[in-house]
Amino acid sequence: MSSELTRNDFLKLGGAAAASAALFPRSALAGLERLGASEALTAAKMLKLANDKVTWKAWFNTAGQAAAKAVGVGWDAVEYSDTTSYQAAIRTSGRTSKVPDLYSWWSGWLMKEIVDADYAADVTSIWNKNAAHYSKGVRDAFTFRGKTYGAPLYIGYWVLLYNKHVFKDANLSPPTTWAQFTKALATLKANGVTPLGATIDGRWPGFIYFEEFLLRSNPGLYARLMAGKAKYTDAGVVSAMKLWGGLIEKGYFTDPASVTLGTGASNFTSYFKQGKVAMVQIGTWFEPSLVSGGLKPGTDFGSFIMPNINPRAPKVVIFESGPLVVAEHGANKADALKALDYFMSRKGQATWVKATGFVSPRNDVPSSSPVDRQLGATIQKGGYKQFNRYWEATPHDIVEVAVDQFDKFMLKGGDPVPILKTIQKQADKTWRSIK
Amino acid sequence: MATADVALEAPAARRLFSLARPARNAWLIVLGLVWLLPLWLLLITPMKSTPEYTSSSQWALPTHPLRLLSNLRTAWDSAGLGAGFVASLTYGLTGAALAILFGSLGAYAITRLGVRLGFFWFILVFSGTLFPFQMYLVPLFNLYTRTGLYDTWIGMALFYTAIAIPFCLFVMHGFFTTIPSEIQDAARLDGASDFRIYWRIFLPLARGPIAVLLLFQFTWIWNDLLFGLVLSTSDGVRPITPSLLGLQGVYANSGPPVVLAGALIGSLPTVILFLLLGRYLLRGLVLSTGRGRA
Amino acid sequence: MTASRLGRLTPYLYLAPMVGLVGVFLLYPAADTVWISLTNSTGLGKASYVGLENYSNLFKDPAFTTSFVNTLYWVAGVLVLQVGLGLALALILSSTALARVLKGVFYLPATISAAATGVIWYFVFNPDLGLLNSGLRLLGLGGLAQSWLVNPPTNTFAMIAAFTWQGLGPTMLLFLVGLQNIPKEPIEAALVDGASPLRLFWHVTLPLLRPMTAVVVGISLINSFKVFDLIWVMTQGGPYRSSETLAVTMYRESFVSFHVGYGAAIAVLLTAIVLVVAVFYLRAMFRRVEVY
Repeated sequence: MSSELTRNDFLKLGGAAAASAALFPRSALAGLERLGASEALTAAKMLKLANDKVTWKAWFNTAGQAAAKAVGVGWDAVEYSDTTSYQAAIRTSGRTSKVPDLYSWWSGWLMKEIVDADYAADVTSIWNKNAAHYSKGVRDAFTFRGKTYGAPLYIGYWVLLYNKHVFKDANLSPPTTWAQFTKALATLKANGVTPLGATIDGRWPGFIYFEEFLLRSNPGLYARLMAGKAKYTDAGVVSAMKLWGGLIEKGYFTDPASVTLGTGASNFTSYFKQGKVAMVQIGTWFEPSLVSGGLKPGTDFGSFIMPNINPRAPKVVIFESGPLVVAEHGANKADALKALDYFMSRKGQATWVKATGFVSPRNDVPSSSPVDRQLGATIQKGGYKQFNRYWEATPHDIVEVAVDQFDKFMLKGGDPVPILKTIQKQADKTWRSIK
Repeated sequence: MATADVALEAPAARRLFSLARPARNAWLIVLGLVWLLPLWLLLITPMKSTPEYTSSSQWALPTHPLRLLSNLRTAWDSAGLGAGFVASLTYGLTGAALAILFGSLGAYAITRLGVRLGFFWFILVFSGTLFPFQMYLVPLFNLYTRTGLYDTWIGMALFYTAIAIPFCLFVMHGFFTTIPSEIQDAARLDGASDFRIYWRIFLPLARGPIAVLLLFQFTWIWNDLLFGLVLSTSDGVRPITPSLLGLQGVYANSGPPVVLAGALIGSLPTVILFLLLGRYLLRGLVLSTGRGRA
Repeated sequence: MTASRLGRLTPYLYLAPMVGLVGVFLLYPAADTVWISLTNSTGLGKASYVGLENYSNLFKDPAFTTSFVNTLYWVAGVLVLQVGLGLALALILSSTALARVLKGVFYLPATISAAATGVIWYFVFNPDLGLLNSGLRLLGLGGLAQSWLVNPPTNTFAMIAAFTWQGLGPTMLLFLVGLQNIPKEPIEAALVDGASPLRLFWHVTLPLLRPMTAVVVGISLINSFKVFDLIWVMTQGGPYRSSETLAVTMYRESFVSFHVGYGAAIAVLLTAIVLVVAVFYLRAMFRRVEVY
């Protein structure tokens, strides 16, 4: 693990320095000069970076120490093991100086709340410096009233991960048109493989296929719906739902009550590895789970972007991105801004991506995973328009009602109109209270 | 001989439970095995590596059971479990012991020292256990951040003691009312002070309930999730159960074997405590002195 | 201060530690919650006073009705299953070596956390690979196999079963201890008089067991209103909110939707219900125990 190496090396250097200083004073001085770097490390300001992603701790600390070495300001990760208590902690401490200097959050409407409450520092200038290397879609996710308030901590693209062996056995290659896609679904089903993984585990996954089918039918409608300028009961939305329902009826999805995806104790990887399920629509951050289950990226699994349902629609892909926020009221705001500036730079992103294996939102930093490198290239070359995912793109009150209803639809099927009416009722209420 | 035995050995009983004892025992054994069945997966899954787990049926027996050790180590290192283990141990022992002490002192006062409005004091303290616990979360968090108790050992210990008190009061109160007043009167005649009577007579008599309370309250504190999550965050202060949660979650990528290995680590002390204290209890300690005030 | 006045104060010193701790760490936050329930707090920024608006919204909320009904199912289920089965097991298990092992077996689930129990039983109820459906199919009863956690009210009953699996141990233990303390004379006398086992149980054993039954019923009653960890881990109150109880709804509104004021109102309402039940119950038990 790269982080452990860094720390061990550092300790060894420090130990050697101490020993030589004790035994050979003159050479110790020279030694100390040579060790100027690690001296700088100990003299660097270490800030607190709070987050709820416990298993990323080593990665955060690697990046934090690299930052300390590079710009004299770094960070140590402060882990919260649960999302809801993490949110509660930030919400209550955000206005005080007890707030962590840097913290991870969620983009879009979930971020708007903390921006409105004046919890996040304006980092527009840092973005302007790096504007050429980040897509507009990503920037918009963190921009409110013309100002940008966070750096992208990670970016996950929502793609179809597919089992390469299953595809090979069925004589399939990643489809590029919707017709090819539906044909692949039918072929897989005929071969006794469930084509698509679906789950309601944790409640939230209900929106995954909804957003894809709507976006790929009519991206403009998707954008308008997120902004409250269209209704869930509009014809375009209804037809997307009916299309989804049709695919469910054909048996193209796994039983959402049986398959679990959301937690560490999930069973999806087993189904996938054993060739029982061919594909799943999920964020690229899920790939490490497949890897720890013994699947090799590139050899055993790959990814492709779902083809558009409407062939005339532009190339689109859904992303999710969480920001790294500088606390507005933090005790070390100036230092935190410096750290964030480093994080958004090419060097900073390269270190982060090397440690995590994630995709970088910077277009000049390739991922260390072959699957993600290919994906990154596809998105760049294809000029894909990037849309923020449903969870953050629309007010959260609507999302919570919607995912419950989508879960119901996935379990029961049937006429989507009553479900959409229920969601619209909440949407009306929410948009009225916002205006 | 236990009362249940007396009742069931009677000829009439054998007619009602027309199964002979061996048959009855057989059914009980089956029930016991079925009862343990859900734990089977908890046992065999951590003995597999994650790739092994995903390649075969979840029921498949582990090929190399000693992989358990590597999973345990991963879990221990991943989520700050080691520090959490020690922390929870201290919270459980301190909290339970102090709650039993304070609860029994209060129960003694209410039942024996003629405190006025005894029922009022009882319900006041007991009401602490009536509220749905989540409702304490936000106000406590605010209180703790304002007073600097947030993320401190003392903050957690104080809370766990406080929340364990109501039930201890409840049980000790029930027990103390069954102690005949003659014992107290006799001791007073010998010149013992109220406190001495409490310390030398009532507490030792209450060995049974105290053992039960120790077991229950330690287990509760050990298994607490919500308050450990909300009121602490650093390694060494955060208890073990919230630490385990970090192994789950959407962005985690440890598979079921590691997660369940963590669950095993989390379950061990309470199981051990039960094995130690439970035997003591199940052999049948009195919860009352058997005779009442008549 | 005179000696007698000091003497009159000392009993209150016994009360002081427990009242102090409970007052600061439990009662003060409870009072704070009551205050929050009268505001529109979202945990962020300033909250403004809205009077009883949260409460009136509560009664108009369809999710509240479902939640309330489910809570009643839980109370009934826990009382019948956990208390009833606990008593039955305590009666059946004697003090043989086998029985001692079995008592340990039945108690074992109580040592693991509610969250861990939720995870284990989530696996048991998994429609495809879970223990229950696999077992049913093995026994040729595949027709009964279903998605246990999907359809209300089956999903609530399934979770009650999981809760009973875990909670049975302590109730059984308490009943065992209670049975040990019943004086033998009345039992032997009744047997000499030729009482049938049923008569014996109903007219002699059960009444003598009343103090312990009171304790067990009281604890189970209160706990049944508060169940949260298990439900949250297994279904999060879903699907589509069909298995929420008042405690779950409170958490969801406060910590998922951040309608903190509204969530506080639910908490206050739930507490009021539990308090009323508890006070009636305790008053009766309080007096009865003193007589005993």
